[in-house]
Amino acid sequence: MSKLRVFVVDDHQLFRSGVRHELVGAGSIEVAGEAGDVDSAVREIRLLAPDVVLVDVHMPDGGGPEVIRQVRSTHPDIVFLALSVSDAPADVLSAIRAGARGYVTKTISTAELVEALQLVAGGDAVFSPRLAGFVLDAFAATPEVPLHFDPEMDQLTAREREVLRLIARGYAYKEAARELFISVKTVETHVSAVLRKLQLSNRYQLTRWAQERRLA
Amino acid sequence: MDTVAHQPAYRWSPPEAPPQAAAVPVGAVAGRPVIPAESKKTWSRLRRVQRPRVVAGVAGMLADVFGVTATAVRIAFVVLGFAGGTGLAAYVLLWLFIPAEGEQGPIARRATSDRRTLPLVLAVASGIAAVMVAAGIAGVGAPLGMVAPGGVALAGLVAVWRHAGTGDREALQHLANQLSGANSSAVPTRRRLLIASCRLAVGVALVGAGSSAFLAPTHLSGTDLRLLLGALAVVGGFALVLAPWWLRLGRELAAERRQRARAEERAEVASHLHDSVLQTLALIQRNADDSQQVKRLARVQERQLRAWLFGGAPAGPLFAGAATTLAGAVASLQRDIEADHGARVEVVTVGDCPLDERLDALVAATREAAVNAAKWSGAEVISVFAEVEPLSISIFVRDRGRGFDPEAVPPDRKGISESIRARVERQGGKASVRSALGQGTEVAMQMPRGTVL
Repeated sequence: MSKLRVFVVDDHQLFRSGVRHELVGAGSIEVAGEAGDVDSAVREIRLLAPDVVLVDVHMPDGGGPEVIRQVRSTHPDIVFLALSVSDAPADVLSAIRAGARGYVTKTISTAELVEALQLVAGGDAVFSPRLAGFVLDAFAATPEVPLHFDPEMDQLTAREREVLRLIARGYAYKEAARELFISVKTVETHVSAVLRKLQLSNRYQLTRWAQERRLA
Repeated sequence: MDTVAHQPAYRWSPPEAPPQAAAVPVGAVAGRPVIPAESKKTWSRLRRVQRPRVVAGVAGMLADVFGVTATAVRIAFVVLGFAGGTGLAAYVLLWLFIPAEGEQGPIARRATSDRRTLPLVLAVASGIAAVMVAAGIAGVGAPLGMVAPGGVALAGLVAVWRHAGTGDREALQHLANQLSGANSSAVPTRRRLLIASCRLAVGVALVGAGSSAFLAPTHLSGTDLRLLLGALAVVGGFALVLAPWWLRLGRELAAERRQRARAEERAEVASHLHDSVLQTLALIQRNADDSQQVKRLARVQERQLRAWLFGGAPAGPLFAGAATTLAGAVASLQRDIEADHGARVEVVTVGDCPLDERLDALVAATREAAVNAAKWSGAEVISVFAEVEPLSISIFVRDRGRGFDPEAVPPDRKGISESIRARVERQGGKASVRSALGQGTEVAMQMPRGTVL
């Protein structure tokens, strides 16, 4: 099995070299390249076509979301995992809406980061506990019946809610699957469905929530 | 003005050598009679009294010089003030040219080193001159001799205002508050000072114009009308010539104010970073060998910085103040445990609600569970998840530490889970502890909500 080719985008040199060191040390990952600003990131990613791009949400010139948008407009199969020091909902939401397949915080352990990269590379979604909580919160409030309420997109199913709760409690997918007596694959399907809703829902609460609450 | 400024000369010895100080009265009194018996104080050593003072401490200073009471000097100033405004002008000039106690140089020296003050003073003076000339033409104005001291005083005040030290600034603001009738206000602002001075100026002008009109022997005639038009033309001419300059000056002052606001903000950020981040970095360097301590320090600092950056929390002490909502209580629990035990606590809260007696018990139980996990599980991370639902509140505390076999519970662990359960159940809630050797522990708690909000 060939190594996963990962590209790292972060404006902090110190952080880039740290991540590179960690990932290479993990063995199953090859760091294809790295960039510190939006323009060079977009250029290099298009050139190198890595499997996964690990991108910092906070950067000058539009940050991670801008990189994701620009690359995906020409290379829709490159997947992105967003990463940030802040769990500010507005940041998370803009990265996910731009097309990131997952969101993790910078305090994540190396093993978890490697696992997350492999998950998004395999087409699954990765939620940090905080992001799971955010989604639950944003979809929890009874909608003030928006004009174009789409039950498919604007609501979570009971099962999705259960999965998200477990993730928010700190469960890994495997543990959540065991808890709910379902397969890991099913858990991943639920999370991917939630991700899609997050990306496509026009739910008014989603944006308002993100704007109003600034989690530290 | 001459009288007031120069009278002290016969009691104060002039300096042996001509003083190099910029203060104008110094040069003016050199060569006057000397009274050697007096102290070695010279004009250049004269200082405005800082306490007690009413405005600038000028009266107190002169009272010392003449050996009379400050009240007498003040009365003299007021009398001279009514007599053509000389008293006011003299006062402002003394304010400008004599340093306050504890200050290095007079305000005038600071004013001359600022490239904006002179234009500003000139602008005020030219504005007054414009009004004066126009008023003179219209025949309603006061004679030149009366307006000139007022103009000098006003222009001098501008310089004082821009370069006054903290004491003088406070005095000015206090004065403005008194004048605007808002002396009880807690925030004396620059704006209020400005409004007050404008109000005062307009008021005085109206009174002057009104009394002249009242005293005028005849009603408006054709000649008066022509004079009025002439006056308007003069004002218009002045405005036309000087307006661009006034406007530019105004813009520059506004820009300067913005810049100052930015600088203040920067200073605030810098002082916060200095008090918090730099201190922590220094501590980390000193504790570089103790990785637990380094982690703990970094974590506490991280929380503090986050709270400051994203939460808008005051940059004060981290642990001050009691939380009033569930999310706040959980967040403070997180900070405490991270600071005391060095484990990372990941908190996720969904929804929020105010604390009540039941929730206090729930939070206390949560704290107990989390502290327990931090102490015994050996796990790096403890997850706390709190969800507020319409009918109940659930909290889960989970670690991936060593766990324990519920069948063979050591007595101390049993005691803890019993105590958590008892706390929650007393208030009508439920609690359960799940654990397996090597797989960590999870405490699940649920509390019904007392009232439906």
